[in-house]
Amino acid sequence: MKHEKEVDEMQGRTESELDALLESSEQISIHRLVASLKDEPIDLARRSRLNERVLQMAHRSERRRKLFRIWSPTLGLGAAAALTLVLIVPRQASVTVTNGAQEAAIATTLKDDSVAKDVEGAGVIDMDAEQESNAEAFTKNADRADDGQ
Amino acid sequence: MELRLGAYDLSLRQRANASDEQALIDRCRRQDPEAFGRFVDLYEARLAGFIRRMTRSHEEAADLTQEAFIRAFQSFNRFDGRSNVKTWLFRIAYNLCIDRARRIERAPVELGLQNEEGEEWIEPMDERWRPDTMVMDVELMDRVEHAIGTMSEKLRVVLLMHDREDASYEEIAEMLKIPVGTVKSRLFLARTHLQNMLAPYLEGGKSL
Repeated sequence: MKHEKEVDEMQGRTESELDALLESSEQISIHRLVASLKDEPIDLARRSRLNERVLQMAHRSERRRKLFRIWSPTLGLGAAAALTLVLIVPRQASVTVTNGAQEAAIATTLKDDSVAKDVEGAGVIDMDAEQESNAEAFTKNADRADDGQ
Repeated sequence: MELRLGAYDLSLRQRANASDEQALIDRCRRQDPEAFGRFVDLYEARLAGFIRRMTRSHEEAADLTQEAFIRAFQSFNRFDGRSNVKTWLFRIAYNLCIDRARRIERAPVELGLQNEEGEEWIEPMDERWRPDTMVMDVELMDRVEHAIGTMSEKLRVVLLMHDREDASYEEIAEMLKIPVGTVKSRLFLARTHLQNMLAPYLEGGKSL
C-alpha cells in the first residue's frame, strides 16, 4: 500500500503540526471543492421499493411482537406448572449402591450354604431323623408285642 | 440587541431541531415505518452520493443505499445514541462498501501522492492553485469525482466523511476505529492527492 508509507511518514508529525497543515489555504480550498459536490438524485422507483420492504418488515416485526405478547404469559405459566410438578410430586426413592459389598455378602452366604450342603450330603434333617427313629422304635415294640402273644 | 435576539432565536431553533431529531430517532427505534420514511428523506441523497463515490458505480450504489437503509431499519433498536445517527448510518454504509469490495476482490487503484508521470506533487503554495476562485463547472466537478475515485478507500472515506459530510475527526476515528492522528494524516494525504490530480487541469486550463 503506497499511502500506508505516506501515512507512516505523517505519523511522525505532532497533532498541532497536522492541524496547521490541514488549515493551510490549499487544504481549505480542497475542502470547499469537495463540500460543493452534487447530491445524488433520488430514484423514485427505488425509493418506492425501499418503502415497500420497510413496510413488510414493520408488519412482520409487529406480528412477531403480538405473538410474543400472547405466547409469553402462556409459556411462562406452562413452565411454572412444569416446575411445580417436578418439585411437588414425590419421586420414587432410588436405591444407590455405593459398592458391591451387600451383593458380595449375599453371594458368599449362598456359596457357603451350598458348600455346607455338599459336605453334609443329601440327608434328613435332625427332626426328621428323630421322628423316623421314634417310628422305628414304635414298630419294633409292636412287633415284639405281637411275638409275645 | 437585534443581533442578540437573532442568536437566541437560532439557539431555540437548534434546540427544537435536536428534539425533533431525537423524537424521530425514538420512533425509528420502535420501527415506525412513517418515521423511518422521514429519516430516509433526510439522508438518502447524501448517503447515495457517499456510496456512489465509494463504489464508483451508480447501479451498485443504488442497491447498497437501499441495503444500508434496510439494515439501519432492522438494527435501529440497537442504536445506543452514543454516536451521531448520521455517523452511525454512514458506518453501516461504509461496512457494506467494504464487504462488497472484498466480495468482488476489485481493489481500488492505489495511487500515491505523485502524479501519473511520476513527478512530485505541486507545492501547496504554488500560485496556480486557487480552486476556490475557479468556477465550479460541470467539467471540474467531473474531474474532482474522478480524482476521488482514484484514491484508496482508506483516504477516500476520510475525505468524504470530513469534507463532504462534515463529520468531526473524533466521529471519523470512532467510525473507522483508528486514532484521531491517523484521521488527520489521511485527510491531509487525500486532499493533497486531489490537489495533485487536478494540477494538470489547472495548468492546461479547461483544455484537458
